[in-house]
Amino acid sequence: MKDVVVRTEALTRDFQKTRAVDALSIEVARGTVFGFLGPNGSGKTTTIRMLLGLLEPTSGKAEVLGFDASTESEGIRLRSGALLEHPGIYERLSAADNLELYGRIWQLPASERRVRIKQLLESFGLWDRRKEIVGTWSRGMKQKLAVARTMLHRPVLIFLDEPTAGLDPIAANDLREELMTLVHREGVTVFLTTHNLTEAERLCSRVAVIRQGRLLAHGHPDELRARAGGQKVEIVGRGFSDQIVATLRNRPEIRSAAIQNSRLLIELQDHSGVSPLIPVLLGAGVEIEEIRKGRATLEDVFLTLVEEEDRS
Amino acid sequence: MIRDVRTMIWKEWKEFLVQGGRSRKGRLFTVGIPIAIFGIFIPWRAGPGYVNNLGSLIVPALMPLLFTMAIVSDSFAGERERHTLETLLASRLSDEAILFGKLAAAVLFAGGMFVFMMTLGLIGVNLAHSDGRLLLFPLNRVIAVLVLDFLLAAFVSAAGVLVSLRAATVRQAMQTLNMGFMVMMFGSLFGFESLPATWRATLLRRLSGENSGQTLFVAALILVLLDVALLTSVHTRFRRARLILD
Repeated sequence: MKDVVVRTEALTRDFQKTRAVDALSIEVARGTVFGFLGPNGSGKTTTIRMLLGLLEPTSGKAEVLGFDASTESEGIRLRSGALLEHPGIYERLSAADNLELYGRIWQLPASERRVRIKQLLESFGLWDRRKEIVGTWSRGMKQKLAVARTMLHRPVLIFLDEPTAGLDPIAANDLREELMTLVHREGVTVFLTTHNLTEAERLCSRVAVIRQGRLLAHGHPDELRARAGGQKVEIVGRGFSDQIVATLRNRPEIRSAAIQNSRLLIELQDHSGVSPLIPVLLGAGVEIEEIRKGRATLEDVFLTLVEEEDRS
Repeated sequence: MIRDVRTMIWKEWKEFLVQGGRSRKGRLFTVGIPIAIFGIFIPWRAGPGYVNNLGSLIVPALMPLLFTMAIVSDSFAGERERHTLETLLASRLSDEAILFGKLAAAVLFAGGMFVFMMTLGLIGVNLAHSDGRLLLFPLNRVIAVLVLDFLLAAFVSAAGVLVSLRAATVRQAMQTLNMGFMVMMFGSLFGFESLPATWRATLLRRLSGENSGQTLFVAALILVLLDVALLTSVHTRFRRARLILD
């Protein structure tokens, strides 16, 4: 992979008898939005902490922006931004003071600080409320301010740990869109952890799936979808029977077929179409009302991977 | 490093000063009370002898230490409680900048408050009782109290940060600190009382007599040693990974 900004080799972290991260090896290319997916407690936050040099790995190695995360973490923190598990906003200060503080921390000159703070607060629709004490704000607004703070010093890499967790769907969607607009405008690499698979599907060009600290899969979302199965077709209608399902299962273009809630669910082999099946169904006396085609979602991918893991 | 320490001081003071609210009434209350007590009431009641009374310097020197305790209790325990610590640790600031910034914020606040209240007292006593001549504290006494106040503030701050690093909440840090200082205060008092009468008399003579300078020097030396020991301990205790997991 060209121009890798994050590389881990067998990165492992134990907490007493619990292995939080287990021999994790991943690579993140520059300029991509990398999704690090997994359920709660799967080791995502611990991984970010190790990548930022906030936690020592038990074994293995992590290299971020060319710096060793164990011995040169100052270099990583200097060039990256992080929105961690909590927004980390000073609630007794105003929005402008929060950004002023981090502008000073990153030693932005006063004139640049003023311009940048205005630009970011305007991007997130917070400029008119910049003098308000942040403690009175909604969670969504605080989260937007935290993202603005993360991008204030124009980092080349940002870590976002569950940025939309706890937000209502509208606030989450707003934040996602504003975040992506900014990310594309500023060309940063994003290391995004989430357990929201729909979010990952919308934002990420590459994903890694982690469970109980172990990497289950790593690649482009389409590659992972292919692993979870082919194209899915849902047929709504009347007259489905076990005999029809058995007939369909014998056809070469069909990977699986089942009746669920009076619907016929079919999974096609790669590159197969649904049209040859229509005459077969009509011939068997099925009344078709609607046909829906869909691809495997990352949720399907995740469930498949978990099943595979459990079986092995 | 100096710039980062200044940034931390800016942040600590800003947070401390706005924690009572941003209202005009709140600010007037915060500033008005010390002005009324130390700038008007005490100098007016004490008369011209105010500048020769050691208590006129000791009280304004010791009072701000209470604020110092509040600032340092909040320093790490407060950041941990409000979930801002990890973000701060994930910034480019070095361990030393964060640590010394927080310590300096508390020490300078105590020193600044002392100078402010001492100046208020001088203005007050001169306005009320000057009779055309300028009333001033003896310079050597001002310097001695200022040095001791600085060392004492450093001691309180370092002890406070050490407690705050270990405490889960601000309340817990404040309780531990209060307890510690009560033990120290009452311990000294009872310790002094339990000394033989001749020793007590000698000690009092040394504090007030011609040799008071020498005694203050010894006290300052002891405080310097205590400060160095505490600061070393705080610096050793301050580890990012440890703070994240605490």
